[in-house]
Amino acid sequence: MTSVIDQDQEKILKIRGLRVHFYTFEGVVKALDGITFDVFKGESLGLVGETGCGKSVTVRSIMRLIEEPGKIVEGEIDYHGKDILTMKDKEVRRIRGKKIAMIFQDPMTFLNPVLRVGDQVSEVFLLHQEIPEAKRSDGKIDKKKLKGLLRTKVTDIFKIVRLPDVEELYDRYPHELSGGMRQRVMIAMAIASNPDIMIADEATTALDVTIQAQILDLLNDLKDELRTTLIFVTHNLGIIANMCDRVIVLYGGQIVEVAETVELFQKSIHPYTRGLLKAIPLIHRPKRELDAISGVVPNLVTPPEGCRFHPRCYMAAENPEIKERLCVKERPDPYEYFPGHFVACHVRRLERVDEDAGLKPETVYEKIETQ
Amino acid sequence: MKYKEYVVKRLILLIPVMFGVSLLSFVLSNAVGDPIASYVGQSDDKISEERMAQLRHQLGLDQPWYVQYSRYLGRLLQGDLGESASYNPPLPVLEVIVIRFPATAELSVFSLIIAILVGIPLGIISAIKKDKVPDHMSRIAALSGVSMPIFWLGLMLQVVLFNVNNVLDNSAIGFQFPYHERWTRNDYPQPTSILFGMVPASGFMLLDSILFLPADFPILDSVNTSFLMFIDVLLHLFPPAFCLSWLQMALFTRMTRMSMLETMRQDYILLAKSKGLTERIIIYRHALRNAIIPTLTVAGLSLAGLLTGTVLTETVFSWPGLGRWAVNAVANLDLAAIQGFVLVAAILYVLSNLGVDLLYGFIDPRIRYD
Repeated sequence: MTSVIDQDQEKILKIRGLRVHFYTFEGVVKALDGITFDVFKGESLGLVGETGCGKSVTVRSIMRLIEEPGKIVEGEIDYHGKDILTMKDKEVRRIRGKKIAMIFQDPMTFLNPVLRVGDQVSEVFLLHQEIPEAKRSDGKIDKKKLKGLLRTKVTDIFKIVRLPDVEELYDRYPHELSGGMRQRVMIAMAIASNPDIMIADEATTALDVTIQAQILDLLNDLKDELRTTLIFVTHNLGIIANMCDRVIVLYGGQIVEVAETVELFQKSIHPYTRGLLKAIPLIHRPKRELDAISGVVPNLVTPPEGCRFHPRCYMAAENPEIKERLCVKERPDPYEYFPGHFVACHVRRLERVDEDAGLKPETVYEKIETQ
Repeated sequence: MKYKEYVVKRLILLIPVMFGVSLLSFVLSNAVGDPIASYVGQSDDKISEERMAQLRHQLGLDQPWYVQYSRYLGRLLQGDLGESASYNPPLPVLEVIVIRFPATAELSVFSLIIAILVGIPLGIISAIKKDKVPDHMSRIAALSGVSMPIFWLGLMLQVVLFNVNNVLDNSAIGFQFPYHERWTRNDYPQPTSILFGMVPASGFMLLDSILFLPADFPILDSVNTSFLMFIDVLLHLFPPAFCLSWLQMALFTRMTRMSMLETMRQDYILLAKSKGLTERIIIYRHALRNAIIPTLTVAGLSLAGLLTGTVLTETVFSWPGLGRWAVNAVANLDLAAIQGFVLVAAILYVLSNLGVDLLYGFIDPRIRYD
């Protein structure tokens, strides 16, 4: 097993005990319940999970974009030695869009309908970049020159994201572009200030498959060219397999498994991850009913005690003694199952302990049945 | 040129609207009362039956309604709206409208401007400071605007501004017009302006007073006179305009607040935030243009409503505008006046809606005319 991630590699983002609550009429939604992970410089990290598991909330917390009625109750997000969550608004604004940029899900609704797309992209330059060429000798800014310079910069960036007819495109409004083009405009906005971290929040979900492939290619190329760190949020495991070095699997606002992508696909440990992988329809497999994880996503106003997955967990069901003793009562802590491969599961941890003691149960390490 | 075509198309559509309106107003007003009444007036008991019949025949009122209507339409096409019988001697309706419309227009436009200038910023502030002190203050201001009857507010304003404190009456501005007597077109001093020569009075007092510049004085005095007149006009215009604008302002405030809050929840605002823009830029550059459209719709309707329906305010402030005349016309069963007024009102509504529709296109690029 070749490790993609060198453990000594620089950690660009350290997230510790992140807890986000939404205060709604039905009660407090505990959307994130103590999330802890690191992001390494230059890697591409996938966040995967079902709808409502907290993927988007996690990445929005990183940019402190949690809106009312949501609130970051607890936690720490360390970026270059500073905690983003306790920064002043002004400092956060200097990070947003400049150091950490986000590509959002739906290109239809995330572009402002009344502003020209070129102007929307040029805002990033205007905000985050010094443009010394636009200054006149007396130190004042030559507005006309600035406009021209911004235009060139924007059209250059348009070319990088492979948009056609860039000159003409600058003056277009979002509704005049196709979905794929709009997504490219959003990507242009994100890469405009050459950020350290690029977050793609379901960046391809709203697009059809061929456009998805194009956008993913583009993101992959850009990541290599710009050497940015990419955090990729999706519920599509196929995209994870293509794009990411490392994967974090979320369930009900908690991390259940962290592993390098190849390892995750080959030897997933957590029962939830296994369920997810099994649910992928494979084209070369004989047709049969899709495997689904039984049960439904937990209501996060009153999440299950202990491990949030236990009501749906087949492993807990197979080990009623452990379930009674631990799963329903204690929250499982991530356990380093293999080097760099963390799993939060009582049953798996106990098995591993048994194995270390020399009693090797056959269930510990198995490939997913190669279908 | 799509824009031009669109305007022309809309103006052509005005014709069927006018036709319908004229038919409706003709039928309805003839259904309410006997049209002969306004001609015989108070003396109807002294007029013999034969004389009445003769009058009816003379005026063509014994013809079937469609003949009467087609005659009316024929006169209408020649620009003859009939005579307003509530004047003594009767005045042509068209002339009455030409005299009275500027007074109403000046009042409504001025009050609309006040309402927009106050209402929209107030709405933005209360959206930004939602559920905080400024929001509550603006809610109170808006609610009192909506719930205060205009006739009461108008009377109170008069009492406070002109009777109790004599604030404005004695402000020693040279020209002291009695408050109730706004000049009518006839006794308006012909403005022999130094600059412009003989300027016909437009009836818009703010404009006329600026252009007045009497020629017989040294230039400084002349300018001074003109300026003082302007101030005076402003002082007389403000109370009724304020009265009218408060209600409109309340509407604009609430409307702007609501649509601003709605807009601030949109995805593109989140994107703007993620770019690191300041709250100020997000609000004024990204949110306001999207949020202003519903307010604009209301403002357009308000303008039409104000131009045709400032009845209460005009009555309370004895404003020589269209509204008061229309009420008198209804009271006197002055059919020609009623029909003329309804036609004008319809035209104003259609035109101000067209104006709003055209404004949409400037604000929202998604709206195109084809």
